[in-house]
Amino acid sequence: MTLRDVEQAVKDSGTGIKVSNGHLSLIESGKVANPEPRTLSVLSKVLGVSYMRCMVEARYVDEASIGPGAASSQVAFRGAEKLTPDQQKLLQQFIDQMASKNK
Amino acid sequence: MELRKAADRLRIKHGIVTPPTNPHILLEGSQLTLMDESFEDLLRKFNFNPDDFSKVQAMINSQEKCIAVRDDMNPRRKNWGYLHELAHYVLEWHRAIFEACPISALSPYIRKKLEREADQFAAELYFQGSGFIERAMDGKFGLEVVKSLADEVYDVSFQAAFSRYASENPENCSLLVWENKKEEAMLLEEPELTLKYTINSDSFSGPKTYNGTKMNPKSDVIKALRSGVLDDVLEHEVRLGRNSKSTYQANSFFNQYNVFTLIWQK
Repeated sequence: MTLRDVEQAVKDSGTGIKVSNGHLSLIESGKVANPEPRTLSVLSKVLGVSYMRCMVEARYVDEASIGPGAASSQVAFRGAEKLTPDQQKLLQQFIDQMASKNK
Repeated sequence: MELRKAADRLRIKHGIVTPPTNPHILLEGSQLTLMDESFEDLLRKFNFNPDDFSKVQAMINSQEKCIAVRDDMNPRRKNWGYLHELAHYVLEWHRAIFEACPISALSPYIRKKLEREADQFAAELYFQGSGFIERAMDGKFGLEVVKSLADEVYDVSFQAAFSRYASENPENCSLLVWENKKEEAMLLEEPELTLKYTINSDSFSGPKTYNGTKMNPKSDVIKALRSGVLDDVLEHEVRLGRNSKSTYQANSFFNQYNVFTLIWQK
């Protein structure tokens, strides 16, 4: 698959996301080390690779946290990015308790 | 632009083509429900102290397909919270992350990025693409027309509408958002305004402003605050730049927590 094929496949994906041939080249050569998550999402589909693997490679997500047995959150919070690390741990405990109650 | 297109698709799919955007139609159309309990009640139920999470305004559980918001938010902020959480659910690249790993595994950069995108998506849903700025530009330039549109047409907070006005504006303008760090009781007596953030239009060519800058205590804005002007728009001028040689027209709006100053040069 050439970069132009990928560009076209992204365009045809129906997501409304566009990635230019030039941008793909920069991603491929590592000159753009942290592409947008939405770009990684559509590229992962087109190329048949795991989105979360791409997120790990871009260092957006800690690899150990998505391995077998790792709990997912399935929960998103508005404002959670403003919490301290300790408060975030507490928030994860809250999520875990909610999840265990639902099992 | 991609977020705008995604928001437009969702809005139109659910038949919302004129303002205001009713978040409940979008939630229902996306098969999401509101939890019977508020976010605070939910925390208490699991023996957590709501005060530890005072900065968290809303949450979505994608497995249970439900949203909870804080009790103490006004209806417009709650609505914003609903659409913000909806973004995490309908944007595939958000949902996949939350379904794959615990929240603590996300880098601070990606957490902020996802939050910012969810707010942008909510804004696109509320302001319906370019519709808001087109209507606003039909009126007299400044915050008064924005207030009217926010109240009478779009049903959004003034803060959200002012921000949208500055960020989408084709003219050379900037919105300066000031915070009053004094206790509420001291607000009118001894106001001390600190610049919290700035939103520039794409064509803004004025001098750089720095967060944390204090407003001149002799300014018209501070004088107006001392005299008790709240929930109103003050028309004035400001001087910026080296030796204060550039004069800008300005509008300032005051509420209990912030002062919003729109500056422009034509």
